[in-house]
Amino acid sequence: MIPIALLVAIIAFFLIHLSPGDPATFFVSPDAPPEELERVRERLGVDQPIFVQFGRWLGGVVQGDLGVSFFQRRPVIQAYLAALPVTLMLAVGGMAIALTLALPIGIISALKKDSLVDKIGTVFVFAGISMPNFWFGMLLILLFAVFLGWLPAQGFIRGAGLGGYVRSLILPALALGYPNSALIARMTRSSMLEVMRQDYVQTARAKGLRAFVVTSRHAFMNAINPILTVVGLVFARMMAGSVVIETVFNLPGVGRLVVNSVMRRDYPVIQGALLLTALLIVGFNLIIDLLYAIFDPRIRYD
Amino acid sequence: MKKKMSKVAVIGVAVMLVVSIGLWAGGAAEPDVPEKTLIVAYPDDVAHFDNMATTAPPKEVRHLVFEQLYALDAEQVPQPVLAESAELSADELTWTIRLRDDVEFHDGQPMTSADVVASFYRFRDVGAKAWELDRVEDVVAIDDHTVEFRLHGRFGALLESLAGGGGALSIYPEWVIEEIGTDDLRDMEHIVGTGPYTVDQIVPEERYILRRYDNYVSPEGEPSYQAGRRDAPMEVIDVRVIPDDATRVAALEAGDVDVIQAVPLDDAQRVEDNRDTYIQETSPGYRVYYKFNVRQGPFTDPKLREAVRAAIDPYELLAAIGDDRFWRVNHAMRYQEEQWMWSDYAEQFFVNDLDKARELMEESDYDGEMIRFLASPGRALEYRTVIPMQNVLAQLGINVQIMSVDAATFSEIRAQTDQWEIKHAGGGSISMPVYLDSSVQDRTGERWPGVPEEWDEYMGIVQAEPDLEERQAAIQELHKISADLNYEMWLGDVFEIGGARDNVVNMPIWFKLHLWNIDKE
Repeated sequence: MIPIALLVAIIAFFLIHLSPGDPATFFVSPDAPPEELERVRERLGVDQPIFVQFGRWLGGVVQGDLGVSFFQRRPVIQAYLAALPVTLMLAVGGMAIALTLALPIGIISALKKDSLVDKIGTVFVFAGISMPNFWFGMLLILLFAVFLGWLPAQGFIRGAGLGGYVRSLILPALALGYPNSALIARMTRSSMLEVMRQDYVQTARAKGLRAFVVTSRHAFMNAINPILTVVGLVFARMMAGSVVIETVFNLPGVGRLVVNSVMRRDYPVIQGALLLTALLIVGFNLIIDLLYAIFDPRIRYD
Repeated sequence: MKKKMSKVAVIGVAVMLVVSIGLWAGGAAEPDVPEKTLIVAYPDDVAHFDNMATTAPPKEVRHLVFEQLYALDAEQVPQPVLAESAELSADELTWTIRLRDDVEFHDGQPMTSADVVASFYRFRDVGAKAWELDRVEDVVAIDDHTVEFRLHGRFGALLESLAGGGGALSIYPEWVIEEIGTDDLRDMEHIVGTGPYTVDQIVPEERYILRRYDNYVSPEGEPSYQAGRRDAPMEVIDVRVIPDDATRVAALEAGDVDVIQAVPLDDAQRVEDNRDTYIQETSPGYRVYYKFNVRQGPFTDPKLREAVRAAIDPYELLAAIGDDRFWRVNHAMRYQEEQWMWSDYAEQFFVNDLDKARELMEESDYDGEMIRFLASPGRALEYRTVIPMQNVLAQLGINVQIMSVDAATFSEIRAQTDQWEIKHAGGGSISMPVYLDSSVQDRTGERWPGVPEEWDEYMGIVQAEPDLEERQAAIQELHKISADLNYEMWLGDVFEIGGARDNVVNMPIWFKLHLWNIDKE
């Protein structure tokens, strides 16, 4: 993990510094004289040569200090930890929606291969992946918030209670989960088809077990590892790619934090957020690898 | 075993969800929200409340907390807020400002001259517009409610400089300045102003709760832009940050918020047609214009600049911005509502004559080299004029390459005059005439070549002369010089649009969405 973190840190730092743009311009009036701009640059520390800035930043990182946001005026770690739970909740909610849609559709499509039900399921999940999620999000807002008034159009309110969070989460989780269900549904279908052909499934049927038991215990549990791999990938994608949904639904998550910081060239936040998100995703993949062993005892890590 | 492990996995996910909620919710509790609460959505984060140290939007939120000695009215005339009166000495080197004696900070302490003096010296170190008060040598307390601004040069424009919006001299308590010095004004305990509202809760990038200060005593006079009475009818103002335009409009339509700033022009009709919402047009708050690079490249040739100007139809360019209710053609450097407006030359500014433009092209030295046209979609309004402008240039046979970059990149590249030949420009209301100087400078502050000496002479009058008529006459001359130089082509003004639910009254009609008089029925 340490080499990956170091690599991400270097890439994050130099990529953002190589792109043009001056954070100081966001602090002074457009007509301010150059001395004023220089004073702000000095205060932000961006007047130093790039390697000096990198050395300072890396020195802080190894001591657990990711710096202070230029704009929020608070430590980067604090800004990130305030945003992370929102993104986690969104990703978990999105994954719950995706699994709720994808697993039944994938299993039923496999059981009723090439039937009308299979085709409807395929069309349903492909419609999800074909729609731009910002557009789908706006449609949900228009329908459920503006026309029906059932759910809030945007935002989370801290301290609003569990009911408030769930109400705020339903639409964005749907907008994130539905398009992402396609991959899981397709993997479930093909993995189930593969397993259903196996002898032990035929044996279970021949023993007279109920179809539900055959499908859920004998087929699905043996088909789960490839599905788990895809679930891991999709979750990572949801974590890293929820930025559009966070923007559309005005959720103060990591994605919005990073986008705002990129727009304003808030270097410490961009660098810190990229580094922490990369570590989070590496950690999550590690958990998925460990889950393989849980679901398939043949796999062992020494 | 498998069943057990599945349960572990399910429990793990559930714990993760609960921990997420706990972590996130733990940050701040839902504040007490009284009935008289106005929920307002701005596209920009307030970022911080150090009003003297930043010009970043939305300054209107900071203006609810901090006040200045003077504020501009709708005609850009300075009116007293914390001050009572001002007098210039006979030698014109000292302004004596009498302070109101009924002003109280949010900590209950009265505002005195000591607070003004301390604020001035901090402003000189950290003020975003500190350079505007360069001519002030010292500020001295004469008694508890009188201060002298001692100058090292004549400075008739002092009151305008004191009245400028965000980034101008705001008055903080002396004890706060003693504690924070030149550090950021960050902690809640230090955010102590004299304005109608106090800050109750800050959740960066999300939400700011402001509560009415019940002992607030308003300045007098009819409300006009930033000046006049501040009634503060709402008990709480709940500011939400919603950067995305479509989401902000949807939040208004769904009733999540009462008021939104910056309704996108494309959505104005929709908000207007909704029976539960309305739009409030304000005085124009944004100028759209073009700048030529006259330091190097083809536009150093005045004939070529003249040809472009002759070919332009400003109505056609501004039509690209949107509905013509929300913009107007204005070739002057100032808004028509201002005392500094002068537009006698404007009628012959854009002749919209393609034949004449082509003749001028023939006379110019242009030989087909590529023109780099710097533009940014981050500057949404003026960016819309880029394609029609490119068409104008193409009609003249000018080869154009549009360099479309994000806003931060645009801000950096525009200062590098070897990177572009023409660029769009835009900006908010110009609070004081001394800003006219930026018309003849590049972004590094260096004077464009060819600016006549008279320019400095007239600018000197604008800065130093206290007599209004003399200053207005000087501004007319500056307008003329600017038009003759043709370094900038002023197209017109765009109106700001606010949106509100139908139970919201007293929406402001001037440049920005100031909130202190908005009420709900």
